[in-house]
Amino acid sequence: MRTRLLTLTLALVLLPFGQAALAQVPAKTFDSIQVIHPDGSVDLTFQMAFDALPWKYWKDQVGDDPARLRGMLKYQFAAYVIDDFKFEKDDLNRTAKITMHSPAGAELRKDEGLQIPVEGWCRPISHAGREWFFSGNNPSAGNQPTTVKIVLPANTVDASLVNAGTADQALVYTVSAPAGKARLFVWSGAVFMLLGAVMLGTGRFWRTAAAPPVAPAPPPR
Amino acid sequence: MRKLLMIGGAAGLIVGGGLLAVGLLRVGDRPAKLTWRDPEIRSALMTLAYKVYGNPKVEFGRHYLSKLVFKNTGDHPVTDFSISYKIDDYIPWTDPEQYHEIPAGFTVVKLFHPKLPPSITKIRNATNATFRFKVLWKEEGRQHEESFARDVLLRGVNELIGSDMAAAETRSWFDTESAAPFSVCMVTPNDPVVALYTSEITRLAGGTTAGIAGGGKEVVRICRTIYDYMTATELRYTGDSGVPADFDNVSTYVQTVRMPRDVIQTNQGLCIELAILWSAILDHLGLDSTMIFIPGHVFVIAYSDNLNIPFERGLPIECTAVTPRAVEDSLVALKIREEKTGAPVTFDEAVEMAGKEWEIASEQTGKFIKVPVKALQRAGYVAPELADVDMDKLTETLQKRLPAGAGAPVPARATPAAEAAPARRPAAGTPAPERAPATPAGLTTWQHPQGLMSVSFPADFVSQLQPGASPGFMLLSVGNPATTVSAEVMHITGTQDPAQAVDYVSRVFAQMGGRLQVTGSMPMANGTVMINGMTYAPAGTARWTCLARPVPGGVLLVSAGSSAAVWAAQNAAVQAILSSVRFQ
Repeated sequence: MRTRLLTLTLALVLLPFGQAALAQVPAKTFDSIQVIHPDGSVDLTFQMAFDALPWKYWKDQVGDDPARLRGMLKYQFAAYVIDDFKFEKDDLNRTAKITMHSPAGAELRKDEGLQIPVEGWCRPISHAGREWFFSGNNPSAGNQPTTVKIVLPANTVDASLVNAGTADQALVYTVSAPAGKARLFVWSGAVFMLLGAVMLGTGRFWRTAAAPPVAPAPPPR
Repeated sequence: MRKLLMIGGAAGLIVGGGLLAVGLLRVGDRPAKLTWRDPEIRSALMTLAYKVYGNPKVEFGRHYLSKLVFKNTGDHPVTDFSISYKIDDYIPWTDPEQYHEIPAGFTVVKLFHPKLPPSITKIRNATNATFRFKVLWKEEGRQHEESFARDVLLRGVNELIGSDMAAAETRSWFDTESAAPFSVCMVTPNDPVVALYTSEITRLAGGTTAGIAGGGKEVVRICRTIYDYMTATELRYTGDSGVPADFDNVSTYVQTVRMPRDVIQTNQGLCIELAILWSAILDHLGLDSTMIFIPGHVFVIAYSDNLNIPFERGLPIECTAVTPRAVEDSLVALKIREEKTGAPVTFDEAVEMAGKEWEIASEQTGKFIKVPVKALQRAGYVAPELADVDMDKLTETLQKRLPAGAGAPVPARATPAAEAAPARRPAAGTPAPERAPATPAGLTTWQHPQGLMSVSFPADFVSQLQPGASPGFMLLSVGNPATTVSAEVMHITGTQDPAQAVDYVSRVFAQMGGRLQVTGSMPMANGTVMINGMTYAPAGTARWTCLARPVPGGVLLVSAGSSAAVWAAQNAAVQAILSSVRFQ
């Protein structure tokens, strides 16, 4: 499956279907955070800030109707698996925050690695440890400024960006094998046995310390 | 202490051994287990859009046939996973997609975008096909296999659905028309039939640069020519509505919509069919267009993206105005006409009407869906492959539709005596050779005194010239009072411009208490212009078609017409007269 999750951002700034081809309501800023879990699932967070007029349009169309927004997302992105939709908005600051979960965030590669596709217009800015930062102007949403933060799983090894700047741009990584219960038992058993062996060995060669010489009793007078 | 160490060591060995045994025996681990959600399989596909369903890049892949979500719920990997699909009679088993392993806890989503064969467009009526998929995998080394089958309805190639949105999410008119982009799949600019139809138009227009660098005026000119060609060839609008249909979780309607080639061949179409035909012609000419869906109707806006003409300045065209009866209520309601006249709708009126419809939709009701043709084509909504057609027959059909006035670009309609000789198209750039027609039985041929032209009409026509009352430029005026069909020949001197000549006639007619209205005109070869119009006089309203041809010293006008009330019934007689006109 092509889990180009970043493209989800498109739906969040478009008017509902029918108007979608006509006009878009680009956000002033659009920040996306994707936290990838060891099992390949992902927690998505989108934070948007609008100017006054786009905020009004956006709220009229979907912002005041989260069920409608979710329905549109499920319609436009039927190819994806999206769960746990949550929505918050702040009228005072004209900001909105959407969170959702997808159990199929990372793609399995033929080489047994994993990958997170990233839109080609998103340029890598920096990365520190498991966190990768991208930014760019989304051409499909009125060139709205967009930042993307991707957090890879804790057991990630060998992360790298491939096909940078192209339509096939992706963050490729592998994960160290997760510790299953059986493996935990095996390791625990081995540790206990080693410890027991050491204790037994130590006990076998343990010598009780000799009693100090006792002075002979003085002869009776 | 030693005893303590010995006891502790022994305990450690026993516990460790136990844990080791438990670990090695994997007690407590969940074995690899592949589970899946209920398969999502579309119960119906539109065959006209088979290329859309086969393209995973269209709209983020949402036009899939099936969506399968697998999850490994065990603590060990599922291995040697493979999946393949099949549609009986249409797609053989696909090469299996394989994964060496699906790690513990992982979810995999498999979408199937079927590469259906072009022959699927031969399906005219809804047909059932069986979709199958097969999954192989191993859990803890044990091989598993699962297969699944479900019937899928393949709709006829002309069946277009209104919506593909779940009924539970549908709440507005927009949602009920959510499948509107699929109509772009019926825009077939490269269909040879559309190409031939368009070439007939551009030939009459003397070519066009609208799609290259002709500018906005050239776009208007070519659109005017298209419209006038459609009215001259009597393209008709017909009404129809969809049939309710429920499938999956969608509740919508299915409408039979014909391809532009079918509209051209039958010379009639629904509003959506006419809009699609317009888009196909404009696309063939290199112009862009947008179909505007409003409740119960569709019209088109033409524009050129090459010329950076902003969308708002595009040219809206009411495609159904070719049939006046279909739009006369709207013309009055939109205050374009004061009353219903039944008169042909001019191109300018068709543009004004669509402009007002667009204004109402965009500024008042807000109920409209834009279907930008080229943008959606780029997104993957492309036309299907079409079957071959008999182009010779179609060429002949198109040629017969135009009144074949002398010098007209199409060959003269064969008279019964001349039918044995195939009509030939004149070589490009050379004047059409004009044969003296053999006058069929029952017809009378009138010759111009200077031999500039001839025209044939029924022998029972009587002269309507009134010496002293008829204008001096009127050379011939004959007709049948019973049928109201008449023919006139006028020779207007002092100009070589057909428009000026008609304008002069109009002024003279006004002085006589009548009113003459030109409803459309179309340039033809050799300087001939075909003009359509209406005449309003105390005696009644007449509709006519006129061939205007510059000749030495002036312009010859040859018109034929009838009472507007019987135009449809007498049109064949009128066309027969015009077909007989031969200019020297």
